[in-house]
Amino acid sequence: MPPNKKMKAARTEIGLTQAELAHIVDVTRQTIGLIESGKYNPSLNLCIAICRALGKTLDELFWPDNAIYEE
Amino acid sequence: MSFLKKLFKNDLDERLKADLRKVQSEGFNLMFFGLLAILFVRIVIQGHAGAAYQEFFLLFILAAFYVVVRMISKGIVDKADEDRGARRKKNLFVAVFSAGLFILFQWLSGGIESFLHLAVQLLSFLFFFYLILTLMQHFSLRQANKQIEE
Repeated sequence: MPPNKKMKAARTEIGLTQAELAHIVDVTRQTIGLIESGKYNPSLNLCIAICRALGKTLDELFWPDNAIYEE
Repeated sequence: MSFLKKLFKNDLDERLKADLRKVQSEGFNLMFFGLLAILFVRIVIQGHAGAAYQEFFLLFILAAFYVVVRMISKGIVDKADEDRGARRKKNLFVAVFSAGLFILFQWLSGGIESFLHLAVQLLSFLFFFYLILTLMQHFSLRQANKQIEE
């Protein structure tokens, strides 16, 4: 899984540290770090919590840019 | 009361809980198959009396039974959308393989008296094993279909 640069950008944009975001969404800092580095695939609930904390939508943070879906 | 709640509260996040479950599952598998290996070595290879290990057998059977019942109740014994013919073939293959193993264990522990005895044991094992597999799948699929309907 590639690193989630969009999430990191959104977090730094509003001036949050990994620890602060982790505190808001009630997970450990390591979990946030692993999501940003693409080493952990979060649950939908956690994705939504992160989106709410960062003021973004799921598409904006978690939808891959190069995703191609075929019928 | 709130102190006790705090003391026993699980503060792990979803990633840590998933990791913990994985570690516990690997530990369980290690213990389960380790116990099976020990029983095999002691009883089949070293020829110890099986009665001396009956509590371990009981634990092993209980653990296996628990796993199977929970798997059936969750509908995960087999894939619900798998072809019935393919499933039957797979069951037959597993039953034949297991019957072969069973006969090998019987032979190693000196439990085979004659060719007729061997044939009866082989066929009964094959039949009951296949039946159990099919029943497990039947109930599991029923559960899976119920979940789909819900």
